[in-house]
This record gives sequence, C-alpha cells and structure tokens, in this order.
Amino acid sequence: MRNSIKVERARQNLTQAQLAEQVKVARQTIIAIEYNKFAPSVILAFKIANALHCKIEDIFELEDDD
Amino acid sequence: MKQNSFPYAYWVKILGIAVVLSGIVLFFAKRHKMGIWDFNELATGMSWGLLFVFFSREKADDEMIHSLKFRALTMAVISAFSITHLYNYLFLNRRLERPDGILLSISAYQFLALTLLIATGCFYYLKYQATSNKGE
Repeated sequence: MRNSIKVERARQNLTQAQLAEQVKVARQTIIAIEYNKFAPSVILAFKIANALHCKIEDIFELEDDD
Repeated sequence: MKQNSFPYAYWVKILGIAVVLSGIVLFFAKRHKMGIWDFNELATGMSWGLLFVFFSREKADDEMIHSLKFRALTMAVISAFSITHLYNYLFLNRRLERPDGILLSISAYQFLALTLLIATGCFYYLKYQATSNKGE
C-alpha cells in the first residue's frame, strides 16, 4: 500500500512527532508507515487522514500486488 | 475501539532483566561452588525474566508494536519447537554421542526460555528494521 503521508505532512507543516502525538502512536510507527514498512489498521489510517485534513483515499492507495 | 495491551507495565521490564541476570549469576555460582552446569535453574530464571520482558508494555505501545510482537512470537515458537524436537530426537531417541556436561534433552523450562529469547531478539530486530530508513 502506497501512501503520501510525508507529502501531506510537509504541506501541513507537521513533524512526525506532532502527527504521532495527534493520532496517539509512537513516532517510530509514523516512520514505518511513511516508508511502507508497516500497513496501518483502518482505524489508524482514518485517524491519520483526519489529522492531515484529507480523505483516506487521498493518502492511501492500493498497489497492484496488494 | 481500543486494542488490548500487554499485561505488565513498562517498569516490569527492569524486573525481568534483574531476574534474568540473577538466574545467570546463580548458574555460574552453582558451577563454581558445586561444579555442575545446572541448565534447568538457568532456564527457570531466564524464562521468568524473559516472560516479564517480552509481555510488558513498551514506552509507546501501539498497533505496530502489537503486530511486531505477534510476528516475533510466531517465528520464535516455530523455530524453538523445531530446535527442541531435533535436539531431543538426536540425543534422546537416537542417543548420539555428546560431550560431558551437555544436556540429554531440552526440558519444558528450557523450551520456554529458548522461545522467549528468540522472540525478544526477533522483536527488537523487527522494530529496528521497521524504523530504520536503510534501503529506501
């Protein structure tokens, strides 16, 4: 699953730590999601989308092999 | 919706490490005093200690940690069971020759200690891998 959290985060001027605090996860989890090393649950994906004021489908995108 | 967390608080990790260390110290003390390698006593201390270390919460306990711990535990159970079965088959069933002081078979405590040791190692390795940016 691809995601554009890093881009949206930069657009909103949010650091990884600030986003992590907003969605109540560790900063390491945000790092892992940004680098596609961890696929978040639907709940966490919604929380991230809300924090970035975006729709979930604008941030997360399925890849062919998903 | 809140996921269930691990049963022990973060500080229990310190207690776990202390139990593991005391088990190791007692193991070598017994060797020094009585001249025997008591692997069962070592395994008892290690399994209690590692139980506290592995099943206690991390500083930030979230769904990635839960997922990594589950993956680590899965790998650990499969590999520890394979090692135990192979070892017991070779030395207990096939009666392969072994040097003095080496175990005849792996006991339940030793199996649990081995499983938790692999699980703890795997968990920290997976966590490091997930949060390092190498290869990106």
